[in-house]
Amino acid sequence: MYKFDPIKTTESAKLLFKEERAINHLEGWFIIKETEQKFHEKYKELPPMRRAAEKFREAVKVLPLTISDYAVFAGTQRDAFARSYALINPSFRVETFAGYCDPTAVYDDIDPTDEFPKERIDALRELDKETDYVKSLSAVYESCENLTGEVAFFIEQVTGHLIPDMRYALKHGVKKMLSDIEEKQKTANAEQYDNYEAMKVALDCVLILAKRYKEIADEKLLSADGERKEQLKLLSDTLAKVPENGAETLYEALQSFILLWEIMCLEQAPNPFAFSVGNADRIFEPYRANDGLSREETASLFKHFLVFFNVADRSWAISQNLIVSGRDKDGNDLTNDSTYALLDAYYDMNLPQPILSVKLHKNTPQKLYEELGRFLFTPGCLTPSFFNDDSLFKVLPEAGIDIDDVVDTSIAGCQEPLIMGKDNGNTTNSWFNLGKVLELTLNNGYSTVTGEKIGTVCEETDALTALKNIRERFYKNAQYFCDEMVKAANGCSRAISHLPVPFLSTVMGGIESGYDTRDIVHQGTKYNGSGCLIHGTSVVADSFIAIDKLIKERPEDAENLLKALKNNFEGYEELREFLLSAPKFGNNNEEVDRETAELTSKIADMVRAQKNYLGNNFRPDFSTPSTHLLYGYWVGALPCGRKSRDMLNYGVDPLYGEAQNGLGFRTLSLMKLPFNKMCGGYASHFGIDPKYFMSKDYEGKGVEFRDKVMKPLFFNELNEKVAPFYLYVNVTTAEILKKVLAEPKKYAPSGVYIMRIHGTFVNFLDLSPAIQQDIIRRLDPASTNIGC
Amino acid sequence: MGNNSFIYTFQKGFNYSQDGPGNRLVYHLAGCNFKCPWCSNPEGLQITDSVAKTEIDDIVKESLSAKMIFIDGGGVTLTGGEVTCQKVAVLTLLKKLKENGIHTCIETNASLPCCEEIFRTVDYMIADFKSPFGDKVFHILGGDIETIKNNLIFRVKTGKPLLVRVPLIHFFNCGEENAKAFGEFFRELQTLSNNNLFFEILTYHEFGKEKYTKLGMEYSVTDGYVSDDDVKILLTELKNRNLKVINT
Repeated sequence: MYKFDPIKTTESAKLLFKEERAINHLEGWFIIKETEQKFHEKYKELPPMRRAAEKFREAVKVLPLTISDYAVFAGTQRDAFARSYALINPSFRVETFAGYCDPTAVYDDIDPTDEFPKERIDALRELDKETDYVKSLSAVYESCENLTGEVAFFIEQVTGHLIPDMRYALKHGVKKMLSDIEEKQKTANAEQYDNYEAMKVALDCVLILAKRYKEIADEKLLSADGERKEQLKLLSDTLAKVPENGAETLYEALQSFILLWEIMCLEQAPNPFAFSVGNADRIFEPYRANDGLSREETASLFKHFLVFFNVADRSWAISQNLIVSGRDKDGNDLTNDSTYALLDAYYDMNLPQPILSVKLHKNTPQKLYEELGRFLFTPGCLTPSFFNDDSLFKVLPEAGIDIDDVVDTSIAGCQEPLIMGKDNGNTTNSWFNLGKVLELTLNNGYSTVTGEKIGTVCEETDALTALKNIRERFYKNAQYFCDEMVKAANGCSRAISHLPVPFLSTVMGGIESGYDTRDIVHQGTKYNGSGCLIHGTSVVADSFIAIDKLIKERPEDAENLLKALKNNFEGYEELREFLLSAPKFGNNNEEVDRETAELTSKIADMVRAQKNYLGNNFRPDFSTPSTHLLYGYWVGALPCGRKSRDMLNYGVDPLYGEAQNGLGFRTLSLMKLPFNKMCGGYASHFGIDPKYFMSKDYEGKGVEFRDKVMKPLFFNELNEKVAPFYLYVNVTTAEILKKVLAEPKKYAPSGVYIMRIHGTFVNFLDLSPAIQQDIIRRLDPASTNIGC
Repeated sequence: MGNNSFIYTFQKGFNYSQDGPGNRLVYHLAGCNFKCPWCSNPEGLQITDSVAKTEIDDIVKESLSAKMIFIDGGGVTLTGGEVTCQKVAVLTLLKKLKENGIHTCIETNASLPCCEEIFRTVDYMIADFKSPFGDKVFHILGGDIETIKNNLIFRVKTGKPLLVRVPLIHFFNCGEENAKAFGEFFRELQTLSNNNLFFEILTYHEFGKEKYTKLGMEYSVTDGYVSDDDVKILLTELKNRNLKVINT
């Protein structure tokens, strides 16, 4: 059998990535939607799931396919994505961002050409507007326009954002899945029977794709010679085998995975964002071990696998998470040879996608920390985000996950923990802006940003009484906005159910249940919930404490405070200084830390008590994926001293500039929060100055990182509460990043300087200026200082 | 400094293992009797208006609230400046921390007299020993070598842990002659110890250099960096004398 040379395979992977980055237009998604539309009439009498599958199969038959001369695997995600994701779009501006609430806005992301003239694009857009999905979604957005306009909350239909479990398909092949389905059909009810028919059609799509790629490989074989000929022969033979049949070698497993993934994404074109791989080292290790491949050989194949996740000039397929390592139910470490080979591939390629996460636990081998050191301490290199598996084994069972399933916890998108193949979390369904709720509570339901009336359920009263009762009034309003948010969020989930996903369902428990993953009547996947991303905890808690201080020391200024907020503190600078002098979260101050923990706990309970479209609970997720900027822009001045339109605090972190005593004290404040209630996830970022790490080599620095950062935070035997379970870091300083921006050619000659923003990593140089500046601001030395 | 209810500090933060065992809350105390030209904390050389005057009880309270992250045998470290410049207050603080079950450590140049009570009380002591030659200690640093030696001998005799650190500076204390003299004195200490004596070589860095500009001070060191060979000479000398050399 052909044996891949690690050096040459690495070279071709790098050339493949370069070739991909040169692509500046994406039309595949348009062809898919257009073809599906064309066949709508033909299949319109079929049940919805079957109709979706048949239309999709027609698209898969005609979608133009190619195999690059540099590719060792067949497959691309390019045709599943539009050039839409805002934060890496150069035209993105915080001031004008309106969210992704117009499902036909994607047609603006395709530049008209001779092949795709404006008329063709507009024609499809108009047809799309008439679909049940777009009509029902638009109706939801219209119904809550007043509340989402200045983002008291936001809601969206969730696409992507799941973690399929491909292991069965890899091991047994699609043929076995088809026969499993036929077996299930024998006892299925009528609806399930139809659904199973749809799943069979969807699985046929991946067989069609493999066949079409094989034909291309065979054609290329005719003119190939030497080593490339041998590679193409292997590719052709492999495509004849997988994914129809089970894989045996690592090469076959990777090829099979790629095609299954491609179909899964094509099914959700044009925005299957944040589908995530899961525990890749565990998925592929059996095949590597079967092959007996060396670390270098394995890494070189993984390099091509990683390139697959990058789409076009800005890696438009964002937030695809890949996780490694972790533990089993009994605490045994599950790191394996594929873990280290994947790390090698990641480090050498340094690509913007897929994002890397690592599950750590108290028995994680020192070797893993040593090998992670190079990621953390090489400037411009991607850094993994870290999960505390010991904590996840406590948090998730409390949220109803069977203990035997927790071992398969992976990360969907940025930091949301889900179970591979068993958990439909609708993670980004709703977004709750506590900062705005506080502003409206203090100003009788009127926006201090625009003067618009938005809403309150509290009665008007005098300033001092309102301030004295601020907590009661705030929580009353929070409940009102939360209820409204959930109604709208469930409306979005109902809207997206008009677009069934039969293929995805086959790797999300649909073969077992007989129902679509998006079904709103029957639960298609073992676990189901809806996410709520909660914004502004620490600015609200800081505000409560500042109000207490004002009432205690200067009650006569109650009215002035409200005036000051309306005027964004203009003319009230002295009052603002007074408010800023109140204790702030992030400095290990007992009073304000307790307030923040209590607020976090109450809001988590409020969200958790809400029911989604299937009657399952919402999941509180305290993460703000750059939305601390976007939503902060719509929040007026707050009593903590934060000015109008300034950012909110990031995730569960203190507001920028408020943690004045370094990372150790921030860690202490953080550890008081109720992580056991954050079953939807949370975000926290540490900026770390590399100068505090004295070891001479990366390995030593990796161990230092364990001792100085991870052990106190994650594996602290003196902490009696559920420990934090997520952290992402940027080991750099604001000064370094300013230099990179000023002289990109000097500091990032390849044009790629990877940084983390929220859960994902991106090319820092691709980011819009507002996001670049946000990263720089949150690296303030006062909060990032870890040594002295 | 006779007051025993306040401590003057200019910086605080956490550090792991490099300022004593485990994860530690480190307070930098203002004021120093030395004038080392390579000092990385020039902002702490004097007690000025810009340093923080903190109640000892507040430091104890803060330390107690941070107890949760004193992992791996950690605790509180007082460093400088020179901690013994505030010896009355430092002794009070050390005793209060110990009463509250917090492990204590100081980093000192061990050059001031009449500090025995501190050296007897503190759980872990780190002492810089910058040169074995009295004239250099006197002329360049401004200290008395006999006092330093006596203080180190005193600490060793208490039987409590002592880590002696040599900051290796090229123009100041490198080479065979220095290494031999370091080795001789350290061997003398070793004969008095009960296995709680450790040595560490630190190499010159310029982390504090930028601060000099900000403070309007001149940074005069131009020949500080040491080579691997410079380190090796001293390391070999110490190892040949069976001294316990560690890296923190």
